[in-house]
Order: sequence, then structure tokens, then C-alpha cells
Amino acid sequence: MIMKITRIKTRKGQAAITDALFFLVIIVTLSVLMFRYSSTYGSRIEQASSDLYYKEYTNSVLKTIFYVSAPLDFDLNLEKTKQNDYLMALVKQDYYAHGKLGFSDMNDLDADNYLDIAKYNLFHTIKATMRPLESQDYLFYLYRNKSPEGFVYFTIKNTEFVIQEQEGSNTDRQSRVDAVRGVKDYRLAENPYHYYLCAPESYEDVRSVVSKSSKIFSSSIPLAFTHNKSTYEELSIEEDIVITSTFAMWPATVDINSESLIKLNCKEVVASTSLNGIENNQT
Amino acid sequence: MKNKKGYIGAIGDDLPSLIPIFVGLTIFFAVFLNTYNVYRNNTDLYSLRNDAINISGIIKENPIISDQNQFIKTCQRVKTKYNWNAFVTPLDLNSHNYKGLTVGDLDDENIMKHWAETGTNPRKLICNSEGLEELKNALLTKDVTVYKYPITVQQQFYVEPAWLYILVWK
Repeated sequence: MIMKITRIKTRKGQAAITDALFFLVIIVTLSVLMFRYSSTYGSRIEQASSDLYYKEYTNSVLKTIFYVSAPLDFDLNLEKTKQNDYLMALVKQDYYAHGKLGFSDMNDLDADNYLDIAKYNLFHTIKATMRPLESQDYLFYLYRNKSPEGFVYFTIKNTEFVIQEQEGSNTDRQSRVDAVRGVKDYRLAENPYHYYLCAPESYEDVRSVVSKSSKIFSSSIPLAFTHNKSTYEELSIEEDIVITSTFAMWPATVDINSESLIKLNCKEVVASTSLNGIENNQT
Repeated sequence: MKNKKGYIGAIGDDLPSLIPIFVGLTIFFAVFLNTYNVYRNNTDLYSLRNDAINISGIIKENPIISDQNQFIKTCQRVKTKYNWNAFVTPLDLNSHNYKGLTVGDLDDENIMKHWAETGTNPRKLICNSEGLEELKNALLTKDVTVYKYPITVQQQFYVEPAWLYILVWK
């Protein structure tokens, strides 16, 4: 027994350093976990804040569309126009008279035809309210829920990027790190912002395009419309038509390109510097 | 001599084990301090932005700003520990004319006025009109959280679209 105690006493130097090394391993593990937590905490907070902001912004855009007035001409100037009306009143009047928005096809806009005034102002109001958020793409639609179901109005903005894989040969250190990590370099194409009016046939077509984005901020409100379907022979007014208006936006870097929009049957609305000079280009 | 194999005295035995302990504690406290600072800074930032969202929620409560009195009353309902201000500027429906607001543009001329103004008392839609200079200084010297939303303002013959700016800083 005495011999055993003596042996332990002789080896206490080795035991102490082994304990210290175990302690070091535990401390380093804890520190690594703590460091990983702290390094992602900031970005999670940043993300949560911006998500909250974008959600509020979509609500504001929708409210603005519902309450704003629109000039009854093509100058987009409420102060100078001789006549104006509520934008949604114009939209409802159009639907009451024709069962659709405007005179032209759903994916078309005729800036010279007074019958397209509601469609013209709706398009430009949405475009103007979303102007500060160029990093976001968006869509706005009016969808008739009552049979026959279908879209009444559909507009979408798409930002075109040129995506470049980082090349390892770059001398820049960050570029080389990005190349190893597979980070893509998004560069705005020349004339990157494209605005379309579309005539999708089904809701599934829209969903298949928009579902490419993992993050969408949307706001939706049902509205009651009326349609006067009267003919010379018969008086017929269809009431309580529920039309859902939806506004949604998502990060512009989501890979939705003009080819993705083919199934939505879109036409690009190209606004030249002249306010009345709006042309339509088939995609 | 045989029994003292590996034993080099009390200090000689403990000194090598003290080095990893010391290194471990140094690493731990350095990372702990760093984590604490990151947590505190980000929580502060989140609290600031959260307050900015709450302020905008209060001011945007009514979808239309009907007049200046209503706007000022909603401003007075805001309670926050941070410095803040909010104002409204015109929104041009022609998006080609859009330009962002710079510090230099922050003057009485660019702040939207409600139509029902009297000659000497223009009804500017700003929560704290006397704090405009303070706001300019804050924008130049501090981190200011700026949120911008489209809203609508009731004018005499129409409802005008406008930008609502919410600015919050410590």
C-alpha cells in the first residue's frame, strides 16, 4: 500500500499537465461554439430587421394603391391635371363596364387611348411606389375568385443580372476565397429593370415562377367588384364579385429571367423619357 | 532517486500545466468578451430598428394623413427612448423623376405641406420642425436608421401619394 502511494506521488507532474490539456480542449471547444454563435448573430438580427421592414413596405404599397387619386390624363401629375378620381374607383368603373381593366389586351397598354387610363395609372403608381427598392422585384395582380376564375390585371418587375462564377485565377484575395466557397458574383445587366404586363392563364403558372424565391413578402386584400353584363335585350348585373388584390416582392437576385416569364404571356412595357411615349415590346 | 523519477519539485511540476490553463482562460475570456460586445451592439441595433418600425406603425395607422393636426397628434403618441423625427415629402408618380433625399435637401421647401395652410403658418408635415437642424447633424455624425414608406395625404381636391421618412438615432 505504501509503495502504491509513493508511485502516485512520483507521477503527479504528468497528471497535472494532462488535466490542463483536457481543460484547454474543453475551453477551446466552448470558445469555438461561442464564436460561431456570435459571428452569425449579427446577420440574423440584420435579416430579421430588414424582413420586418419589407413586410411593412408591402402593406404600405397596397394601402397607397387603394387610397391614392389618379389624374384623368397621361401626365402623371395630380397638381396640374384638370380632373382626377380615386385610382381604385377608376379600376372598378372599368370592370363594371367591360368586365376587365382597360380597353387593350390584358398584357398590353395603350398610352394614347383614354380607355386605358386606369390601367396606365395603376401601372405607374405601383412603379413609382417601388422605385426606392430597386433591389427588390415585385408583382401585383387582381384575381377574380368567382367562376369563371382568372386574372384581371397582372404586372411584374424583373431585374436582369449577369451571374459570374468567381475565377480562381483572380489576384484579389477575397475573389479567391469566394471562388473556393462557390460564391456567385451578381452584376446588373445593361438596362437591368424590366416591367411587364402579363396575361397568365392559371394561378399555377404564376406560382411556378414566384416559387423560385425562398423569401417573398406579400400583402393581399379581397375587394368587391360589380360587372354590368347587360345587353340590348337583357339587363344583367353581376354583383359581389370577389377580386383579390395581391402585392408581393422578393429579392431581385432570385433567378427569374425573361424566359421564365414566357408561360405568363408577358409583354414588356418600355417607358421612354416622354410620358406619353409608352411602347410595348413582345418578349 | 528511483522514487523521484519525473518529479522536479513543487513549482517544476505545476509550471508546465499552468501554461495551457492560462492560454485556455485567455482564449475563453477573449471570445466571451467579443461575443458579449457583438450581442450588446446587435441587440441595441435591433431595438433601434424595432422602435423605428413601431413608430412607422403608429404614424401609418390611418391610411390617409387627413391634415396636419392629425399628423402631429399621432407623432405625440410615439414613445421611445431614442431620438427620432418623421416627415413627409412628395412622391412623383412619374418614376423617371425619382431622386433620393440627401442631407442637403432637408429643408422646409422639400417637406410636404398640407393644403389648408394659413399665410404665416405653413402646415408642414413634420413631427418636430424645430429639430430639423439636429436631424441634419445626426445624419452627418451618427448612425441614423432611416425607413421610408409610401403613404397618402389628403389635399384639397385629391389624395396625393407621398413618402414618409422615419429617422431614429441614439
